[in-house]
Amino acid sequence: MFKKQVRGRWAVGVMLILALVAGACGGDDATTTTAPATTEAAPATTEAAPATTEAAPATTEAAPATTEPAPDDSLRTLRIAIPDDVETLDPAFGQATLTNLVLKNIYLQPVQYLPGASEGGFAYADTTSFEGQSVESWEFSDGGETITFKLRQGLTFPASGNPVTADDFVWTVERALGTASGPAWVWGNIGVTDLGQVEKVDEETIRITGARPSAIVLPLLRDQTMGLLDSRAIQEQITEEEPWAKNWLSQNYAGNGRYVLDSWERGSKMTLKANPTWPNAPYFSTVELLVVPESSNRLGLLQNGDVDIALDLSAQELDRAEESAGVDVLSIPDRAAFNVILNLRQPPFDSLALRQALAYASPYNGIVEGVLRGRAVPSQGPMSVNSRFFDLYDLGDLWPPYETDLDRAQELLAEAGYADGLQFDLTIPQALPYVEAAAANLKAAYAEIGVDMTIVPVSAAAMAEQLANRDFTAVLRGYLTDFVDDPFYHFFLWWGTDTVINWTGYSDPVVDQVLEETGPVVDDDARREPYREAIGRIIEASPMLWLANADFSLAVREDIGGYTHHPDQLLWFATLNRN
Amino acid sequence: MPTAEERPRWVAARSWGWFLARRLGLLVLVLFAVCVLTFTVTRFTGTPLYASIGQQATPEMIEARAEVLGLNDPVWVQFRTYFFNLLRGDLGTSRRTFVPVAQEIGDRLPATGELVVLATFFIVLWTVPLGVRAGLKGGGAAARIGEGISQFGVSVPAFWLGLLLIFLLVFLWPIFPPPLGRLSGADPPAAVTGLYTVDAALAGDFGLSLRALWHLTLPAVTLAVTSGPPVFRVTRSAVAAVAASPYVEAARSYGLPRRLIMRRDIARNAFPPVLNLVAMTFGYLIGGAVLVEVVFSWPGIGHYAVRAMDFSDYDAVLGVVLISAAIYVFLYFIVDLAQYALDPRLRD
Repeated sequence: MFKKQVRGRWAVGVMLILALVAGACGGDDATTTTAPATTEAAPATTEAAPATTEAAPATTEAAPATTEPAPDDSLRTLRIAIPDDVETLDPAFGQATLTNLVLKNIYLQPVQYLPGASEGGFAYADTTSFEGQSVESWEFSDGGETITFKLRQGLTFPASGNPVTADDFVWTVERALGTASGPAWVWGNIGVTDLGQVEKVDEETIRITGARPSAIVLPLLRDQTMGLLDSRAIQEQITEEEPWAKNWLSQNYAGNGRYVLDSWERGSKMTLKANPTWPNAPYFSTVELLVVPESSNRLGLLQNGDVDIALDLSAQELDRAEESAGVDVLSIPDRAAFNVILNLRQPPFDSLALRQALAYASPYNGIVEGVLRGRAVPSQGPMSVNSRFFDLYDLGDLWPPYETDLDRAQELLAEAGYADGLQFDLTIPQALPYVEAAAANLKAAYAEIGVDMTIVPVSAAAMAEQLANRDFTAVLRGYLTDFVDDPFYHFFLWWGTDTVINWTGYSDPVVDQVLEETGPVVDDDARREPYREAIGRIIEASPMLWLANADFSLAVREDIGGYTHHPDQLLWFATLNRN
Repeated sequence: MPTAEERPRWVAARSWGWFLARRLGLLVLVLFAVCVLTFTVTRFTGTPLYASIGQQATPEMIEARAEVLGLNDPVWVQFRTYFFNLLRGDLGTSRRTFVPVAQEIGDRLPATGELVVLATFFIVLWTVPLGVRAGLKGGGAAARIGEGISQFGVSVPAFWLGLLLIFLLVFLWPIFPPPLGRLSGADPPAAVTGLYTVDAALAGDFGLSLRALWHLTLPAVTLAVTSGPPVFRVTRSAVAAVAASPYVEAARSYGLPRRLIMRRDIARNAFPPVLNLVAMTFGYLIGGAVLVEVVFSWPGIGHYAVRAMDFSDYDAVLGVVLISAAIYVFLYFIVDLAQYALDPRLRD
């Protein structure tokens, strides 16, 4: 009897606790935190077109149109599931794609691309048209060697309330050069290596002298590392050990982007609010970035409607997303290159015949259709088939594309002196499933011509070290995307003898000469023939195995619209809306 | 020879003093060895230099960054600097984020701690009653249920079970909250301890505290099922062995009450190895819950450590390993103290 009573009390107790817990937690979905609408939707506005010279494309068209205010504030909150946390708030030191994505939105770069015409649920950014962000106008003079910027008026830094001045612009450059960080590289490519080249003319005007004219000056000024810093707020944090306040800025916000940082729960969630000081408000007043490392959970949350966008899904998950009610997958033909990088500095890939043998033995169809699930097309050389310049320069005519031809591969292998086969290592990043799958496909295909390829997964740090020191045989690193769609940008990164990521070690005096001579040329037609010649030579030399050009795929709820695809693949929140 | 109970007080105090000194000395030695070993191993697994600066770095930028990160110094100088900073409580600064490692770990440790405490509670909750019952009876329903959960728990990877539970209990039947970390759909409570359940209760918001507990439940159950089986088996075999011992038989034959035999003879003799294993499991889970943290988007130190290792972020890796090791050896120290107090044979 006593036992029964005790059991009965336990049962009642457990039920009570469960009921309490369920009561406390049951309304989870319904009580999603919503930010107060901090901004009213403004009518679509058009900024006055800044004065530009012949060196800069004419700007500027209407700012992205905002949509009518939503009836419910919760609809003005955009929730995005992201695979990892943001690593830093310092625009000079962001490395990961996600960090760059946030930095692009929460800091104000000098310029950004204007959206192009919408097609099939999205628009490409118009890479020939720019709108001022931190600057209202810019003017090139002295043949492009002098650039005069006029700051946008009336801007402040929301966190401190400090007004934006020319001093902020100059100090942002000074910090970039002083820290020898990412923006120093960008400024260096614009020709600015010394602070003496950056002059404050008055409170609104900055003049840069000794700039290096090229077609990529404005595209470089839109880089996410070029965000304007609140110099006064940061200088207050400077100490003897921390002359640039790197530690402070890594976790404190000192910018004034189209969105501003509202809160950051490290490892969990970052909340951004539309910048109340920006003249026209974007549709979404709040953007929540939710860290969900497991990709199947990101998909589940999207299917459930818990998030509006799920980033970084696998090809299989994108297929499942496409089949889900209420979910759209935007598959956008893009320039992402999926290449095997060969090290030409050392055997065995110093042999042209061997490189071509592998190019003929590569399973292009298996990679495109099997691994990438048809969200890609076979590549045809160093410039992506989806580059604006591929059609403009008729690059498809240059060289018959490599296709899988095992007989030809065997012949070339014998010609290279490896008729009995060979062994080499392919380095890949660890825990990147699509790269592992592609590497397995390559291994099986090369085995058919007697080539034994060993797959070596390494950490991100080890991969970066091997590439920087050119200490590898072959690397399949995953998608590689130039942040600027321009042949000069591509060549000065990849193909000059001593250029910064010439990992292959490719060296050709003709290509070097093209790079040098076309650098200052901004006219697309004038660059056509030199680049055609250089690209043809590179394809013939096969320093890489160009496997595919992958789409950029974005899984979104079907009511999300206004996506504008930028060449850097970094999501730009300001144009997004809810239908 | 007098037993521990018969010795003068000063002898017992001296015995305790020696015991404490030996254990504390060992604790410091272990932590120093862990520090040296981890420092050495991280230096062999790559440098954070290139990953931290990006692929478009010029030689000048690489040189400048190496100087900032202190990587140009000889390794022994780096170790000396690290060690003396450590003695001052400075765990260094992340080479990737430029945030002090102590702060980053401090942000994440409460999340892991809260999860591991509840998981350990669940482990004890299911393993000890079922293990005792199975040990005493030798068969029956408790043994079958316990064995069933055990077999299942050791057969399935924790991440798989976590994904299964999420699919069933979040997406298919939305009973539990979505896997969005510690507290989705609400602002976290004002930080006092960093433990959301506790901080919310301290703030008088018991609804929020229960909500935080609800978010903890699925990941804690996952860990309890996959990490509990060894505890169940040790409990069962320890209880069975003690229950079959001659002194328990003798106690039974004297007609002593079963509760008294259970409390005085069986529990006291069977539980030390169980206590040891529970402490070991707790220590293991501090750093070993990483896959469950990933699956449930739990912002703990396990996930942080994995990211740090991928980028060879020396100080972050060292910090996590040292903190985990410190918790581990401290728990052992406490368990040793408890056993020393409970078991007079250890003091003989």
